Amino acid sequence: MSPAPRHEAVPRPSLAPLIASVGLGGSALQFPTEPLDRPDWDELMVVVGAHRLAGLLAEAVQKGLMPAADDQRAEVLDLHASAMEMCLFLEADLLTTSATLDAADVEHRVLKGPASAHLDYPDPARRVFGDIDLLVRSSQFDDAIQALSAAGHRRRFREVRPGFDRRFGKGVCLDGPTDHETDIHRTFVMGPYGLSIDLPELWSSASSFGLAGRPFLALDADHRFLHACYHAALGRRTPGIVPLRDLAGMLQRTHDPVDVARVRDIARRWRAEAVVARAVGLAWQEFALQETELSRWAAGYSVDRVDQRSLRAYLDPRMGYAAREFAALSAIPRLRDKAAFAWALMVPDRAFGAGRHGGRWRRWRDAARQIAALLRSGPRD
Amino acid sequence: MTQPLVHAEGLLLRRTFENVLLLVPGSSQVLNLSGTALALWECFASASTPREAAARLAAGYGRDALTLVPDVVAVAQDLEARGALVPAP
Repeated sequence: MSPAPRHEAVPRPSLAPLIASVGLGGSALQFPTEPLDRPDWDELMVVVGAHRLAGLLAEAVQKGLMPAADDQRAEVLDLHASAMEMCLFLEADLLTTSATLDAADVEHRVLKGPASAHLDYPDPARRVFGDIDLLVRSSQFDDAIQALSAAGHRRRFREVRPGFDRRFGKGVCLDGPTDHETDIHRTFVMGPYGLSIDLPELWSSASSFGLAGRPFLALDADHRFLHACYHAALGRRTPGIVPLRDLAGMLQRTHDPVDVARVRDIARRWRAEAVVARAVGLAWQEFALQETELSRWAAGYSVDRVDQRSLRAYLDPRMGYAAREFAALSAIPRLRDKAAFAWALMVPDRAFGAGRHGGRWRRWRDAARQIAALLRSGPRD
Repeated sequence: MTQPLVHAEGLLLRRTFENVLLLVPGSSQVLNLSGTALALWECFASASTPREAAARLAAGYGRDALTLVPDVVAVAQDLEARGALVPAP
């Protein structure tokens, strides 16, 4: 066992965590005392737009936490209104997509954006999102894609081999009839951490929220927290500030609170303690939050060699799809499934990746390099 | 226009700090209400005729209700045409 990997240096403007910390209790981050000058303000607006923080910046300005000149305040309110317009259009997509799945008898749960906005923030207008994410059961995955394709959704990428997504994939990214993105998930992430999740457990409970007068089901509070951890810790090499804000806010929510003991028990069973520890550590670091029992546990968590390799497959810039899938082999329990998984990746359908990887041989070469690098490289600190 | 109107059910809605944004599912346009239009919208949270809404608005703004009625009727008709207001049951 070695110490937990430290949060890699994140090239993100320092004001992004500050804005994202609005509404969190116990953050030591300090707002400026004077309005920013024009160049800094313009940069802030770009960052806020890119990181989908308009709702929180609007709250900071409106409450006087973030000093702003009159014209700056007007810009923020415009940016917020534009962001909320987009969210409403996406929610309209959610209504039709969900109705399509209902008509096909495909059970589904709303993930991330709309679910978090309506369940995890005191006001949905604080949480901006840019797509729709839905979870479906593995057994209904093909039915879901078929129903949505018939309704005008188009896959962005082809399947490795028929049945691969349903058995081993994270999900499918679709462009809907309105050209907005809809992601249909089977699990939280691709690779080893996505394959060690007890997926049936996700369907054993739910939270609900209302939208346009109809109810929607989302993951329960603890599973939503875990999903935010996966998203924050593994989703990108530079952790997204919004999933970090989501998980920190979830821990401070007083109604339907996160049951930390249950979360840690689930994380242990899903072999995801390193994921939760990394996510919590990142959130506490970004938002300079006061220590809690969970943050102390995260800071003291030691990552074993298996997790070091798995995390590296997600976070090392030299790694890509091949490295994550190679690392996933260890998470597939049955030999027969391992063989099917490996065969599909080694000999994918000819159409898979067409135009994306520069041909089959180049894909093989890149994959071999990634796997060699994954096997060769030592533990990261 | 004497029939009571009320907010349509099934609207997608966000309240920002100075606006209410409404999207009627199926529509391609978000309605962005602020100022007196927002105040008028709130008047139709419960079933109201445009005349009743004008009276409430006039009381809030210290204006003569009769002078507001034509504008209120016009806005209410527009919101009804867009599906945001519906005749009260």
